[in-house]
This record gives sequence, C-alpha cells and structure tokens, in this order.
Amino acid sequence: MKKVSYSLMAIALSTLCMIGISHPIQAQENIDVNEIVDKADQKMRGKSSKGTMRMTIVRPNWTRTIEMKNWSKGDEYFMVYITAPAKEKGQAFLKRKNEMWHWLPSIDRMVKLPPSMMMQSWMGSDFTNDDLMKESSIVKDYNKELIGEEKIEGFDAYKIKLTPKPEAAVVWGKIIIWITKANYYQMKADYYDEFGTLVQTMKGSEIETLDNRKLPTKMTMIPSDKEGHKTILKFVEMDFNIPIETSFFSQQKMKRIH
Amino acid sequence: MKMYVKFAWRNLWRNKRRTIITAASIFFGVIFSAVMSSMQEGTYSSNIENIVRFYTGYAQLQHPDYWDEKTMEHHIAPSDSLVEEIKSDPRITHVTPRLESFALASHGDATKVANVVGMAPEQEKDVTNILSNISKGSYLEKGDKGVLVGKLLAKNLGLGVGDTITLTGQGYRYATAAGLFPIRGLIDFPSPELNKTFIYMSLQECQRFYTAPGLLTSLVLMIKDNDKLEAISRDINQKAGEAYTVMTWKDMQPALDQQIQSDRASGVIFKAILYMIIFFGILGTIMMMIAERRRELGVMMAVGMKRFRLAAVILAETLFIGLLGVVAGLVSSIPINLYFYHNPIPLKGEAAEAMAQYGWEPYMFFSMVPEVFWKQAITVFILVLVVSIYPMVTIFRMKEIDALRA
Repeated sequence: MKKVSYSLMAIALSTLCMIGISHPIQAQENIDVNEIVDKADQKMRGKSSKGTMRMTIVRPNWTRTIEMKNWSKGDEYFMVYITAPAKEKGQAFLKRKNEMWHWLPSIDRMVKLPPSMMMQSWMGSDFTNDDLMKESSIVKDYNKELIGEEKIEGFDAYKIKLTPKPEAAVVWGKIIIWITKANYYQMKADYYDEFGTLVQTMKGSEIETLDNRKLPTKMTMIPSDKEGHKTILKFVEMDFNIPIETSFFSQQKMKRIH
Repeated sequence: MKMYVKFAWRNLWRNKRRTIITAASIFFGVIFSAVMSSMQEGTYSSNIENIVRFYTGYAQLQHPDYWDEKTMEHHIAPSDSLVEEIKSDPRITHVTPRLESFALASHGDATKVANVVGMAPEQEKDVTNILSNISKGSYLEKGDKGVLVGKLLAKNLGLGVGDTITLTGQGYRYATAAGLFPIRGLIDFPSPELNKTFIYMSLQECQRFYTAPGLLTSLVLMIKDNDKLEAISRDINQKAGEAYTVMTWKDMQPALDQQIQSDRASGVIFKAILYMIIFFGILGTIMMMIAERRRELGVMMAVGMKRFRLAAVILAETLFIGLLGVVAGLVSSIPINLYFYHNPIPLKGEAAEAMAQYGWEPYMFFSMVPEVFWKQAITVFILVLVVSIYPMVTIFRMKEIDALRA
C-alpha cells in the first residue's frame, strides 16, 4: 500500500511540475514534448504490428529492390523476412531484446550480429541495422526539447531536438525531428554526428491509410555526403495491434516462416 | 711531366714505411666508409623490403577512389592484355591480383568483423611473407575452397584447423554473401590487429563469395629496385589510363616512409662524422710526412729547384698515395661486404625481439649495390685532394734557411 501511495504521489508531483514548467513557456497550449514523440513513435509502430515493406536502394548507376515481411511487438521484438529478390529469399533478421540474429538459409546458419554492427548498413541500404531494427528508441534513449514550430510539406509541425541520454548506446550527436501537430506524422529527421555534421536525412511522404491508420507510408533516407545515393522504404501493407506472442520472435520461427 | 711522375714514384719508395702508413690511413678510410654505407643501404632496403612484403607490395594498381572509400563499388577489372603489358616490364618482378572486402566471421554465438582477402595463392606467396606466417595447418592451393584465418580471430571464435567458419556479408552490389569455409591454416601475423581480423581465401572462391566475377580491388606489384619506384608507377599509370591509379607503398604507408627518411637523415650525420675522422687521419699522416721531409725539401730548394716543380712532385706523390689507398681499400672492402652480405650480423636483446615481433629478421643487412663502393672511393679521393693543399701551401711558404736547419 505504502509503495502505491508513493508512486501516486510521484505522479501527482511530476504532473504538477510539468504544468508548472510548461505553462509559462507555452501559455496557450499545454505541450508535452515527450508525449509528442511517444505518440509519433506509436503511430508508426503500434503495440504490435505485421506488414509488408518494399525497400529500393538507389545508386548513381543502378537500383536494387528488396521486398520483405515484418512483425513487431513493443520495441523489444522485431522480425524481418526477405521475400524478394529470389536470391535473397528466405533470409530473416530477428531482434529479441538486445540481441540480433540473421538467418541465412543458403548456408543453413544463424549468425549473431555483434553490437558493433548496429551502425552498419542493412542489406547494403542507407538504413543501418539500428534504423531498421530500432535497437535504440527515440522515446527511451533521448532527451527531448521543443526548439520551434515550422511548416513542413504543408503541415504545421513541431521541431524537436533529441539529444542522447548519457547512458544510451547511441552514436548520433543529435537528431532534429519534425512531427506534425495534428496527426503526429514524422515528416523529417536530420541525423547529426557528435561533431555536429549532418550525416543523413530521413523524409516521410505519401500519407495513406493502412489498417484504418493514416501515416506517411514512404520513408526516404538520404545520406548527406554521397551524391546520387538514397534508399526508399515503402510500407505496402500494415496491420497494427495484432495479437502476437513473444514466442513468435524466436530462432526456430525465423527458420520456418514463409 | 714524365719527370715529375718519375721523381714522385722514386720518392715514394725511398721510404716505403712512410708511404705505406699514409696509404694505410686512406685505405682504412675507404674500408670504413664502404662497410658503413653498405650496412646503411642494406638496412634501409631490408626495411623497405620488410614493409612491402608485409602486405602492400611496392605498389598497387587500384580504382582511383578505392583508397579513400574501400568498397567493391570501386573495383578494377584489368584486361589480360594490360596485365601482360605490366608483367612484361623488366623492372617488375611480380604481379598478383587481390579482391578485398569485409565480412562477418561467426561460429555459434560468436561473431567478429573480418577483413577477407581473396588472392592467387601461387603468386601471393612470392609477394608477401604469408608462407612463413602460417603457424598451423597448411597454405592454400590454387582455387582452394578453404581459408586461412588470423590466429586471434580463430581463437576468439573458438575455431581451429579443420573446423568450418561461417562468413556472411554484402557482396558486389549488395548481394548477400554467405558461405561456409573449412579452415586450412592459421596465420600468425606480427600485428595483433591483423591477427584479429584477417582471412585469406583463394581469388576464385572470394569472387564467388562476393558475387564479383572477374573483379579485383587491387593488383599488387613487386619491383626489383625501390629507387625506380616513382618512374615505374608513372609509367604504369600512363599505360593503365584514367580508370586506374597506382598507389606506392609510400602513399599507402606514409608513416613508415617518414620513419625511413628520418633514419636516413641521422645516417647522413653519422657518415659526416666518419668522413671527418678519415679526413683528419689522412691530414695527420701527410703533415707528418712533410715535417719529416722538411730538411730534404729545404735542400732541394737551396740547390735551385723551383717551388712549383717541387710542389708538383709532392702533389703527384700525394695522388699516388691516395690512389694506392683508395684502390686497395676498394678491393678489400668488396670481400668484407660480400661476407657480411651473405652472413648478416645477428642482433641481440630487446631490439632483436622487437624486430622479430614485426616479422623482420633480426639481422643487420649489408648491401652490394655498386654505388656503395664508388661513392665512397670518390669521396675519400676528394678528401685526399683537399688534404694535398696542405703540402702545397707549406712548400710555397717555406723559408729555405729555416728548412735547412730543421
């Protein structure tokens, strides 16, 4: 009982503080940056999800398209299964808490990806393993600060600066993210390294309805120092908040999904 | 003219012991400087040889952007005729292809990042010291399906010779690269960094693994003479055209080049000190000779011999002695250097251990390049000429009366 009352008090206190702090700055609206980021993250993810994605890697002289199915539960479980091109079909990636695995049917082997590979390119794209598997979380691993409001792609958006928490295993120096006010779409994100240099930009576009949820269905990642390079990730199908067991995210399962 | 030479020659053998002592000082000067520069040159070229044999070769033909961004996108695919043309250059001794990229090496739950080198086993062994670095198992054969793994990498993955290593990565144009490879041998490089990351594969297997048929990342060149490096790389660059660039070992390992440069600079100072000692040695003996012959010279002048004639005779004597010393020195330094060339001096102690760790043979090497000899001979002969100014000056300033009383 005592414990409960303490936490209740803590909540009450923090709510009071929140009102107390944010009120003078944002007199009219009661803006909670954490809530904005949380909602934007939930929008793309849901409690759980299942979907089909198509990734197009664009290079100056050629392009390559990878099709895949994906499943997620919370931010700890994630699985990708490659369906095309034929040569890559059957490969699967699994994230389970902080472990990542790669299944290669061609050699019948499971490879554990070391943490040092998190910032390496996923399947040669401009998305890193971390971008795709969401090892780090914009909700948990960053301090957020509202630094302005801008119009972006015709939407009124909050401009929020994310700086990594000291203990977070994050390589970015900071991320500037634009989240639309009305619908919490993540329309743009600029990723900076620890020296303050822009490394890559992600842009959201093609707002469509998937599983009764309106969201940007196309994500384009553009590295800033490589001309003619970009990667487009398109959500083809998406079902949110589906019932899915954590036991689904297992090594046995990733070998058998088709 | 003939008379001066005759006089000089007779004078020389009038007092054999004096002549031989003077010639000996020159003789030892030549020997010391020849042995020392043979040792210096030998050490530099063995250092360079060690460095290039370690991995890079003397030069590499690459895609112009490869060195800055090492991806397979920046590959080369040299035509057979280009390779043949390079091979036909008499200054080039070996040409060997490589395809290099990164991969994940794993076994069970352990995964490590590895640098995979695809190479032609039968050529690679003539270019680098890879054969002597194999600590267990055997080397690869042509088109071998197995791999050689760095000792520490194998240890970190819990693998040994005969086990199978799993390699995965991104191939050419991001095709998934995945393969199982039996471990043929373990390599023990002097550098732990390489031991933790290197995997060698036959070129054919590597090209298959990365789905990069016919593609290379570099063509490694070995040459006969490091002094011709710049000229050769210029020529090859011209032959190969704009799609290629030639990187020399100096471009690839600038720190090592600078180290050799600074070492060479300290060698120059050391040699300058040696020449100074030789100079004063010769000067000393010549001064003694003149002092001994002061009365004799005085008598010659008193009976009416012109000073310039006397000076000419003494100059001829000095030159004779110089020639004698230099030729004798040259002739004797050849067998000495030749002996040390074939029997390098072994080093002991910490320096030797440090060198052995780098895979360098802990020996002091000697060089037999001709310039070691003729450069020293000429330098010492010039010293003799400079020294010969002293007797000239003495003769022209000499007062007969003082000389006669000496």
